[in-house]
Amino acid sequence: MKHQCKQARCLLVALMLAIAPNDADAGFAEALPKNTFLLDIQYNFSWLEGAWDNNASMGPLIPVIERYEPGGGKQGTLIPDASVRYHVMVFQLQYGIVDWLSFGFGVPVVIETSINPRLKWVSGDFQPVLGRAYSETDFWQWAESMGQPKPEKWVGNKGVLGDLVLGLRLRWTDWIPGIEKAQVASALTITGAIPTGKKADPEEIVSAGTTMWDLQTQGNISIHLGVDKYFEKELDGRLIIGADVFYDWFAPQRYKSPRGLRNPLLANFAPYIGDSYIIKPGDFFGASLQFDVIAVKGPVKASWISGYDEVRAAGFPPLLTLSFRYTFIKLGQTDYHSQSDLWDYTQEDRWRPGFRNILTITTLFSFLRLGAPLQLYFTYRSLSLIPGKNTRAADVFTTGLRIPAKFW
Amino acid sequence: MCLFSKTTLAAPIVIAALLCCIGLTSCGETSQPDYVVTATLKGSPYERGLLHGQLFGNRIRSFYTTMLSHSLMPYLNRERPDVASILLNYQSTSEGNADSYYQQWRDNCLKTCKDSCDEYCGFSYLLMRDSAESLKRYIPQEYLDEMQGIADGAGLSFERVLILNTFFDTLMAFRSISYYIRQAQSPMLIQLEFFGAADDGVDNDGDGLTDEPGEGLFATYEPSPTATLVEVPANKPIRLRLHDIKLGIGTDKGDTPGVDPDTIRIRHNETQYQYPLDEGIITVLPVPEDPQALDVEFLPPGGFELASVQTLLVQAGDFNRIENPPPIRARFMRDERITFSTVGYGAKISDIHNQGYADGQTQPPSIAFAASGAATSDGQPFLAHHFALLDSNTAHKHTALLVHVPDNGENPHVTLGYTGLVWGLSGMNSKGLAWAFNTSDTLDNSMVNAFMRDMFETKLVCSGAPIGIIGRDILTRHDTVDEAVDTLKRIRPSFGWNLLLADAGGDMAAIELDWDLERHGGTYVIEPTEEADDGGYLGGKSGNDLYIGSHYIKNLNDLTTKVLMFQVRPQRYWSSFYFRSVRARSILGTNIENNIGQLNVDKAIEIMQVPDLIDERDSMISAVFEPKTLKINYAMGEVPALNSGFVEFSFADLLGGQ
Repeated sequence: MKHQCKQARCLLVALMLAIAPNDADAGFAEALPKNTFLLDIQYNFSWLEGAWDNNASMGPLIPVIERYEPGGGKQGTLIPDASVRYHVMVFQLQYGIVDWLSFGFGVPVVIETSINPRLKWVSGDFQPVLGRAYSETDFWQWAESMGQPKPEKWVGNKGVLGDLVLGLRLRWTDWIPGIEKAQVASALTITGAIPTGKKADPEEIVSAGTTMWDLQTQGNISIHLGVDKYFEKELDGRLIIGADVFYDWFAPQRYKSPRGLRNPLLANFAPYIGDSYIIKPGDFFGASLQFDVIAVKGPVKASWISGYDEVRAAGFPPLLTLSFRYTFIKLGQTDYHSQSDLWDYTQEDRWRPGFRNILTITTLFSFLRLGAPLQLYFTYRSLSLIPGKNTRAADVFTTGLRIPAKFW
Repeated sequence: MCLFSKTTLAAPIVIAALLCCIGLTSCGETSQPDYVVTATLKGSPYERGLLHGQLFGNRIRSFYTTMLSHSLMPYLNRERPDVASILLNYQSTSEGNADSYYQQWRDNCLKTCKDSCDEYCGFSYLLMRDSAESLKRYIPQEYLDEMQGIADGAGLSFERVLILNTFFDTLMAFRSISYYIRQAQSPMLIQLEFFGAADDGVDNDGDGLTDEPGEGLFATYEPSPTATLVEVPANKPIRLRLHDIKLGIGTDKGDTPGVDPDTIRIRHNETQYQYPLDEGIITVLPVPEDPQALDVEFLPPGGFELASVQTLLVQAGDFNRIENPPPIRARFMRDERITFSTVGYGAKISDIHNQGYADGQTQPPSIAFAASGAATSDGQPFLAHHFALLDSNTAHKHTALLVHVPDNGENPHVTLGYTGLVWGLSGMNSKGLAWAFNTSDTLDNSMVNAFMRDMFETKLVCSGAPIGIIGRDILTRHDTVDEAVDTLKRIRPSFGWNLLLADAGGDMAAIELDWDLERHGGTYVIEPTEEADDGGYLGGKSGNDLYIGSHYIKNLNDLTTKVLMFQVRPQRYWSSFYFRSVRARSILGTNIENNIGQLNVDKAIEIMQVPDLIDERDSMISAVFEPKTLKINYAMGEVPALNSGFVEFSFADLLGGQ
């Protein structure tokens, strides 16, 4: 009993120290206190209906496929009006090595990916043999007689692991004496993605993998320099402005070439591009600006978390924080390297340099003040509201919960 | 302890700067690779081929895959059922013949095939391979050595390189047969009548007789490059008799014969009419004595315009519903174009070309023309060519200008063609002999010859000298048009072709070739001064020019014979190129005539850019050769080829630097 009480007291101490004052969830310069764990479990639902093209206009996600009749001009054009859905769980664990240095790793697990190609057809030139232009029915009748099935909805990646992410955050401003008076904190964050994700099946016309390249979230190595500015005195701590500059580097990856095993007419490139090819995705270079507004500070309750100290409990994160973030990302040219420079160009043309404009809104509920070591958040992130260029226009809804803990 | 130093403080600033630098120096934006490659190939044939393969191996593999594997072969595969209904060797197990040549070959192939088996064990590959092996016997060893070099340099098998270099000839020969079989089972225009022509007091057919019995009635319809009739009454309909039969063979065995009236379409000048929507303008009547025929009478609202040239483009299908290969379709006849003039126009039949109007569906075929002497502005001979047939969104990405410099003293020469091919669609040698060729559909070819010999046991293989090899040989060994013509008279070609030659001395010739099945001479030479029946020049406008399309103008009866139930008739009766070529050649001739005395390279380019002469979908390579100055102006790498702009290549400069 005595031993158990001693352990419980340790846990109490852990929780007391886990959440330091001013630990609002701006995040760019946030670091965990020493020996503190933070478990974050989130569910992400992403939907994708189109992509911003080279003219910053919304276009199809998958490039159109033009079919030609030898000596007869164009059969027609297949326009994939694809719709993609990703359901992903992400498990993250962070640990404060020291107050100014945190370590974390994330494990993304895809629950399911679905892609509905929703193929449309635009007829081509008049064909004398048919006495008409190819209709959509005509084309698929012909294609299926050649062994080419009509692509149907694809569902996959059930329970498939994505790329594991490891990260370090160093809040270097802790080394500057008196920096707190300026109400500024800054941190350098480096993350790395380990290629544990699965690549898309090359034989499928529509499919997606679970690598960082498929998810288009971050690079294999990502470096962030973030700054948070607090307004404790001026605005009663109800506003935090954060800024972040970052660079994401993508590692070259080798992919198997499709051999036409399932799609002999639409995906049979290996005979001239080789058995495999390399993609070097274009790197990201971007910046974010974020405003955290404390909407409701909430009541304060001295509880076991605060050691029954109401003053300490008042220093816990507020009940409701609203975050508004704008991110601009410049995208580099993605390079393909196969045995065919002509094929390389057709792929690279889809991934020209571009940019993203991302809006993110987060609602964070923190219940620590009320005695529960729990935070709940909801995030909406959109690439479709503001035009981008040469990038997918994905929208993501995230919900998650965080549990801080300290054991020694 | 001071936990920070200047270094520490500076670190974030350095990192930020580094981030910026990295962001600004990321890889440059992609750019389209050149679709035209050039190279000078020197040495022995094998050495030249080896260099060719080493330099352009990726393009050669790409060309083979995208043109043959992805485009042509799938389409040829669907012709098998029609072919198999006549030629037993190509039947399959599903047709009740598990022991046929084709099925046995396929079964054995599938046992060992590991990759792309649909292609390599398919009908089209068998066809291409067998034909390639047959054509190989007619290819001089030096070109086979060159192909071996290409294979070794590009990492491809010799078989594939051989197929790549012979597919064109095989394709054209096979296409002619399969197209003819289809046409033989489609509705045909068999009779034509112009009401009122027999009693209008006018000599409508130019025979010197007026209103003789039967004037205005063409009991046996004959396609014509000129008007069918002139000065016809404008307020009388025209009657067309369409006929359809079922041969009891082909994939439509047993179906009901006859023309489906709901498929009848007539384009009058630039207005499209169709039945039954335009009933009254188009009137369909049964033919009591022939239930497989239909009479179609046509008279536009208000009648035909007086004193003008009128054109009808007629099309119809039958009741057939071909399901194999899909998609489901009827059999459609070739578009037949009939041109005539109405009373008051005042021109002779021979003065009115069967040119018609652009119909938004068909495209002009290949053309070529040459001029010298008084026809030009500067006395400099030139040869212009625009080849159009088959792009499939890939050929234009694989074009090549290759300079061949043999090591045995034979003529260095330039070809304009494609990576992986030892030949080109046109070319010129160091002596200024230039050549170009167009296709010319004919059943007077080696595949038909094989069928006449072996009947139902025929294997579809092409024989004879491939056209590209003919061109290479001419350029390698001959200096003048006369020398080349002498050789051409002794050659047996793989198919029907129209050639145009010009040399530095200003000589030129157009040559029409066929296999000469009936042994009445397979080489027809047209000189610039050769007279036509109407008193003009057969092949040109001035006696110093020649122009060709993709149909015969001299070899008018290339083949007339009967094979089993097929009445084999000359080119003009069945070729899908015929009317398109008649139109293109007429327009080309008019443009040449309007510029006689002013023709030169710039004018030639200008003429080739006339929209009615450009195939917007399958244009391949265009060029103007200057035999005296050894310059080549070429346009390739886009569709149409002219869009890429002409690039001047000085063969003289290159030779001077050798």
